[in-house]
Amino acid sequence: MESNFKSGVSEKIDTVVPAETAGSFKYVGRMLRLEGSVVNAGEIEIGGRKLHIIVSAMSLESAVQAVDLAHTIKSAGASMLSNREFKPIPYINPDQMERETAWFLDAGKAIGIPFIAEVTAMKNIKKLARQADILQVSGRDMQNFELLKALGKENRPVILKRGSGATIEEWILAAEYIMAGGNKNVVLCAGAIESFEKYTDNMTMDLSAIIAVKMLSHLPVIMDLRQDVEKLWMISSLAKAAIAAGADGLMLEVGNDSGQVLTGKGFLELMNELRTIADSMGREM
Amino acid sequence: MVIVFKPGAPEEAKTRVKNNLKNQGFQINEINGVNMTIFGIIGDTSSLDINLLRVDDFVEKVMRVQEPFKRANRMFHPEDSIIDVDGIKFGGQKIQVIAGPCSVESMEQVTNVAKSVRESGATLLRGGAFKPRTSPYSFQGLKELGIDYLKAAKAETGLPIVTEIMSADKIDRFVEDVDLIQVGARNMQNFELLKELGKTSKPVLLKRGLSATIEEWIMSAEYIMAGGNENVILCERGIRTFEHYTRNTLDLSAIPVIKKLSYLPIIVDPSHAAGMWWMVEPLAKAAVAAGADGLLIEVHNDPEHALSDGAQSLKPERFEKLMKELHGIAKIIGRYL
Repeated sequence: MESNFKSGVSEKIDTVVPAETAGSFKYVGRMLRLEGSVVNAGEIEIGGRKLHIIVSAMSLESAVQAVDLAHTIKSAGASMLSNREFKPIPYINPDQMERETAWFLDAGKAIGIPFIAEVTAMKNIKKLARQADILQVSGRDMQNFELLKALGKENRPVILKRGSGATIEEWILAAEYIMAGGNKNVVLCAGAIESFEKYTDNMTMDLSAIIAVKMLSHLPVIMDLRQDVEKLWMISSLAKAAIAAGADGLMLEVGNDSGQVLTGKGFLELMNELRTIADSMGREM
Repeated sequence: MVIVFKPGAPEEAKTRVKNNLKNQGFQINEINGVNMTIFGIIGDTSSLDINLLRVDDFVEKVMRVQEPFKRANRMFHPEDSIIDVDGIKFGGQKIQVIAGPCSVESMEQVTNVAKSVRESGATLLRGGAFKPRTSPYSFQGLKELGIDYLKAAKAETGLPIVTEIMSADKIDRFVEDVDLIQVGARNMQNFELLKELGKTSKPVLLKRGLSATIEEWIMSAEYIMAGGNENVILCERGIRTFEHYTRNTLDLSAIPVIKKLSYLPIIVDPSHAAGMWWMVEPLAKAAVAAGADGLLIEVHNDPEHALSDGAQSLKPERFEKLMKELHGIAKIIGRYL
């Protein structure tokens, strides 16, 4: 800033060079790889013709419940299970989260559906990479660069969620961190960004990001709609819109009670609706 | 409406607030806890100024239970409204597509674009005559002459015309010659203009302000409707966020939210939201999939030389291709184009 006030300088203009043209998108950039890349997780291919529906549970109380859920969603056509997002509350019981992860891992194996585990700390990477089929980095950790670098040394696929305050460029550069380390199996996950709109809790689903990322990068992009889980009546519209915008998959959350949340039965109906849209986009579900 | 008093608020303060509200004709339901007192206010509170109630030293908070809008509220009008624009119906099974150049540049240009978009299936013609440009030095539009050219294009193609009004003093001309009067994002809270439009019976296309919440936007529709003109169509065109890769961030959640809160038709303008032509196509599809009642798309015969917004305009060939693709999605959700 000081340089602005040097004598003779009336104005300093920052020359902003987009990361794309500055050559920072070495591995993620679309320019270097015109065809979309396909990320393999076991038998699952993300970024191909098939659209993937990933499901997490709002709350999980027993191993039996985990098996039931895995069975319900698999028969409805979902392709992966995931644990719910770690909430930014310091008083959540970590044992409960670990228990849920263990139940899902067992349920996933029993039913034959891959499991995605959220990784929040470097010390857990090795263990989770052994157990889960895919690792996920939440929006809160999108710029936890040490975590990203460590994930770059693994070869487990990583789903990288956009931070709610991150620009598209920052998000793509976070993916570049993982890829620069050697791990080329990255899937981007779009979501809601901070906005002034009170009605949707100051979060606005940014569907344009799916389109922008597909232009800038060759990586597959899925959309996390779990932010709107309390607003069941919005999910169907937004899920259809995300598929129409070109998303390679969706993340949804299912609860056990009826009412405001998506439940097993509602999920089946939603899947049937989404299948027709996917079909018209030349994709399968 | 609910008023929560601060812990230990004196009786006099509560009585003062109570009498004030009673004098205005409201009934009060009082709940007395150990420390807190809560008033539930019964009656039509839409005219109450929430901030005036907050001024009281002993009032902790004031909350609305009901939305502040009445005429635009779904609660009082469960059925979707269908708005007739010169025979074209918004809000029904058919998804209406408004297309045309950002600015009317010449008679030939607007007529050619009109013919071509009609061929592709557009049902209304857009074109800016009065242009609200950010810079006073940018092209400001052909003004009245622009409306003449639009009328000529309508005479040739039969497409009803949509163009933007910027001030109340032009209302007579617009009512006379324009089929759907657009209030642009920048004028969404030009209340004097809204009130004047409320006195007419012309359909109004009300765009969402760049930084307007959904509630503020519906309240603007309420202004027009309160004057007696119920023919309001809403248009989402992207909101301002921190993301600068796209011109604005298209808020597709607004579609289900508007459909829940209100019964007015809502259309989407993907061209202004994206700012880049290659984004228009997927965003238009997403909007239809999310349940939009229509689209507003900029189409220019020669975008490279457009006087405004060339970068976000589709060429006629691309527009035709998009229309074909939209048919498929519309059909799946039980609608048609």
